Amino acid sequence: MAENKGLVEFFLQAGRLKEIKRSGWVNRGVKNPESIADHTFRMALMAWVMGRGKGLDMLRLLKMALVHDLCEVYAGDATPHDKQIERGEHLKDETIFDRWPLRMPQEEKEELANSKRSREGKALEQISQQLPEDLAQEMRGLWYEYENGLSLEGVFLRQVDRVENVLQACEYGQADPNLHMGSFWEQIKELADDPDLVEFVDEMDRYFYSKSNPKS
Amino acid sequence: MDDDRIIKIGSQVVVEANGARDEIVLVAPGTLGQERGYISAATKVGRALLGHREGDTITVSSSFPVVYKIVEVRNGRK
Repeated sequence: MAENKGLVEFFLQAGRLKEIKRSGWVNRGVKNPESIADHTFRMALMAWVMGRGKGLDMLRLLKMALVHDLCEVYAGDATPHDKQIERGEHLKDETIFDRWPLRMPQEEKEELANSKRSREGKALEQISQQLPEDLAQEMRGLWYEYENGLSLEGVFLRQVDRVENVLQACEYGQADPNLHMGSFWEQIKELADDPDLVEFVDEMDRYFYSKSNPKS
Repeated sequence: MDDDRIIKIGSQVVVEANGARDEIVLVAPGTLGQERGYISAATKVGRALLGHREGDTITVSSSFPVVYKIVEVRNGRK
């Protein structure tokens, strides 16, 4: 069946996310860092668990979680520090990773965000072209909704995405206290506005960094 | 009292965040776009900024505190 050939190709491409290490950790020198698929797994789990009781369409939310980083098979895992990495700034000063790097005039932020979105949109077109058209359209629609926060699910999931990053940063930071993870904390304080996620972030802070906690 | 200099939802704000100059817009809760400079009033930073004015300095505390110096507040002014 011709459709199955396309599915085999699609799943093979999607499977590459199991091999691609997340750039944010690679750039910081984390040894054996997680893959993009690793991140997607826990993010989807968090979305389900943390999204209960909010009136969200759970199936939509979980599908959105599964497709949110699919584009990175071709677009790569862009990070907010990419410009600084290109200039080699991290080689001279690792503390750049302690600061949120996108401090600039709003027009420049818009340009950067639009450019990233355009690249990723094209990459998603590429990976989904092997799929039946209705399915490909559903995936593209979910991704677009997520990227632009066009639904309650999209708005919530974008926050969960970053909360998962912070949790991973806590884990890596605990394993190696010399790593610089401050930028994740700067961002999450400006991004998370779901009350439960805000509280969860506070709890992570206490869990990993409170002096009275044996984990810290 | 010059209310035009106080941060509210819709304010465009120039801050120095841990010393780095930045431009943000305070937006209603549930509005997305931190990477574009939109900060929801329900975030930790949004809540801390609301009601403050030019010249104020606020600290959003945690194990990784961020200090925001409010440089300029624009409320619909050219």
